[in-house]
Amino acid sequence: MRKTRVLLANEPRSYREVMASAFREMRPNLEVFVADPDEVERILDLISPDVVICSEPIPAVQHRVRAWIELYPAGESLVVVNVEGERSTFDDLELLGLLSIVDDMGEKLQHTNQGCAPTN
Amino acid sequence: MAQEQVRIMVVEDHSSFRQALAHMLDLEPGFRVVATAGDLAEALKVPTDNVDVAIVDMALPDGEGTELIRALHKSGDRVTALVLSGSLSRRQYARAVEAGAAGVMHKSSSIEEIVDAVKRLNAGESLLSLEEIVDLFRDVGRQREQDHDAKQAAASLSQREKEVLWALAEGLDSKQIARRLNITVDTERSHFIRIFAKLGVHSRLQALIFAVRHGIVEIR
Repeated sequence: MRKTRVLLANEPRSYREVMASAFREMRPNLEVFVADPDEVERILDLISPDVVICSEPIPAVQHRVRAWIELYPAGESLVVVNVEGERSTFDDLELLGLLSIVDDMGEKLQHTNQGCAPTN
Repeated sequence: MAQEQVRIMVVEDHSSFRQALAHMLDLEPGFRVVATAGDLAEALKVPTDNVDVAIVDMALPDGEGTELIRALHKSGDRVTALVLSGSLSRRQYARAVEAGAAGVMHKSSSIEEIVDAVKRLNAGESLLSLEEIVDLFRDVGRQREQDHDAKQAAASLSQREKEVLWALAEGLDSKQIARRLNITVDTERSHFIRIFAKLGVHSRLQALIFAVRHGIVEIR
């Protein structure tokens, strides 16, 4: 079973890089990728992430990724979680809360075996 | 002999970023995160006699990072403040430096750049050259003068002239403004000539921008 793939493409850069480092350190079971928001569409083709964390979910993310987290859009303390169309909104989210959502989503996707198929 | 650790406080309202940053800084050899805070009130309660470097977000939900920096300086504790800002505004940078920040970085910086900045600041280095600091202060001074002049210009407007600007803000044209205020179009134009002179602008659009920017009118 392959690892859950998480793509961090949120702004600003320090957020996605710092959080990616923390994810890698705290969750060795994840495959963590980082991308500039402008590159997301191209990266979706390359790595087929199971979860995308972004500041603004572009249509490609909304249509092709089954789980995405809109984190602090426009710098607001707001987090929107969307798992297979089911949407939840939070006033901010702690790191462990974010990780548990990623963990839960990863488990769900792995169990249903409906995550995006890895590309070779 | 054990190397002294740099004791760090992280003040940032976005919880997951604050916690991730604290976690990663804590893993850095020679660093120890001794406190974190999600807002100004929480940060002001932190005893800072055991803090070497404070990483402070400019925009906190209950105030500005500059307020904390001023409080740190007043306390007499030797805390070096590094501001992390989501804004590229030179004015914000200047205000942070004026408040006593030893360095200002944009949040587009990498974790390596932030770590390097903390090390350099703790070693007594400055992230800004003297020339850059002088330029920033010069900008702040200039901006303050412009703000003062603008305030004076706004205060010099008569009530009628403000009513004319309000009507403009509602999108009315000359005839509509004249009708609204029960004056002739010629009188309406005269009002605008005086408004332009007082505000130092050359067009209705500029007058409107000035009026909105300085709170004389609102666009609803």
